[in-house]
Amino acid sequence: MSEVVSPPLVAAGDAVSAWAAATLLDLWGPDAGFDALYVATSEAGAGEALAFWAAARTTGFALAAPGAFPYTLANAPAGRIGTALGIRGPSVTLLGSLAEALEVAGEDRADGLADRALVVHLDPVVAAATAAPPATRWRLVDRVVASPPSADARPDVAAAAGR
Amino acid sequence: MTAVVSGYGAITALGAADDTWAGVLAGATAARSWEDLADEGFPVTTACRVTSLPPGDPVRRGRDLASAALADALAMAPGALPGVPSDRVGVYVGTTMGESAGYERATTAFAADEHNGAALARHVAGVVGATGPVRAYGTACAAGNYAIGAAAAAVRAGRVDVAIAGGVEPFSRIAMVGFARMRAMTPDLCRPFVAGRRGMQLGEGAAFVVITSAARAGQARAVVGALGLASDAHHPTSPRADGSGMAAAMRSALSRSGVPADDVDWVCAHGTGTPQSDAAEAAALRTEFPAGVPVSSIKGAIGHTMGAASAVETVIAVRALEAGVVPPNVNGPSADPGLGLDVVAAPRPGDVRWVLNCAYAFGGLDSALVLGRAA
Repeated sequence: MSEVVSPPLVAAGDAVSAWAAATLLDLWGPDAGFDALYVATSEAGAGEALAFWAAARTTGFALAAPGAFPYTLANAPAGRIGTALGIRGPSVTLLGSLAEALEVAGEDRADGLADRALVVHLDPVVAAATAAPPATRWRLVDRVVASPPSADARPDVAAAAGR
Repeated sequence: MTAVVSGYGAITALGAADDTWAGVLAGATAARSWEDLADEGFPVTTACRVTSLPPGDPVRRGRDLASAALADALAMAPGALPGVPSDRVGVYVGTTMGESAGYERATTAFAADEHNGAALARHVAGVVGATGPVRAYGTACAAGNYAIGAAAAAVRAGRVDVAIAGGVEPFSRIAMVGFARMRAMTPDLCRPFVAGRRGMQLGEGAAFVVITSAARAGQARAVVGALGLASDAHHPTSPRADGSGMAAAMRSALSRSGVPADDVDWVCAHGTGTPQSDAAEAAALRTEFPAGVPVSSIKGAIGHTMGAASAVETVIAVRALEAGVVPPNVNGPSADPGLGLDVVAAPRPGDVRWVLNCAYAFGGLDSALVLGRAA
């Protein structure tokens, strides 16, 4: 299957990844990594789904652009960030707020699913509001690195920034 | 604390849970060609659509499917909710897109939160009167496993007393076009694990389970073990060919459940029927089950119901545990010998104690959920 990319999403995902990698280096040193990724979003995939469908109706379904389809999924941003950071543990996309994603990450950590998690809220700059929206411009609304309990003096929530 | 399924319900192109189970055992398929799709110019017109519900409002199709499955699940567990404070009831819903027709019929005014998975989760919470956690997992074709696994963990941890969990996916024209244009969709029948398999087939459906502690369950139907999650970190759509992410999810689910691989009596495979995904899943199964394990997929019967798929498969797994029968691989009795799998060609009665339910998704998501026979 050919490589398919969404340039705006790649840029957003890579920006998140660059921030996360630098933060991780500061916090835990060069050998640390993330076990898990949690992405909160309310809009991911919506604009892409509308745009994909509008374009398919214009070209005819038999000629619709296949490369755009994977980005109609809400977990496409998580896929990009996880790939950029090489995260091989849980990848969880929640349709909700950063607070919900943090809560779920904490619960999963307590349940033994993950140790260190990157938790982000990623959404478009402008929510899709018409049947044929323009290409999505992504916005990293917030991000948090959640670490293990502070037995070794690491902060439980190491960093939060954004907006 | 043990989390158990005390009720379940499903609606698929074969009908309700009983109909679906009977159809799978009989090797039936709901796939057929649809005139409306041909008239609209779809490149592939074969699919598994639910005909047992009236058409209704297209942009509420997911809610209607959810309500139908939920009603059956609640009817099977009449004692689960009465007397439980509403804030001790949680809702966990997985889906790929939510109400796909809401996107397909969008006009000048559109709001995603009226159509996405969160809207479906709010609908379910409204039906059951839940004011506890309401979680919507946008984890595509693995979403049902995510939702049910999270729900069981919440019950085990005592965060909720009752969890309503499942997956919902109405028929999606967007997905019909997308998968067909990616050349991932078969034009005839979905034949998982068969040599020369040509791809997946789109379905629609919903399934829900009522999860409680064993002490609260009137009749425990099955034990819900641990969810295992992993990622491929590899490609937007293709799995790792070595199946290492899938294997990691299987290993995590089994080890966290305390179930040795040798004790698994059936793997309810993702088994989409695409050449790449089935081959990767086979590699993972060979890694984690070197002594072999019975494997089958129900997607030949009801198609790939995407966000609902692993929830429907959970219901089928519970039926297998109750009945002591491993169901067959529909449309694929003669498996590709190159895959090295013990693909179940016909219903296989036996002592079914543990089932591993596997689901994967675009974006490199890998999941596996352990289900066990009720004591």
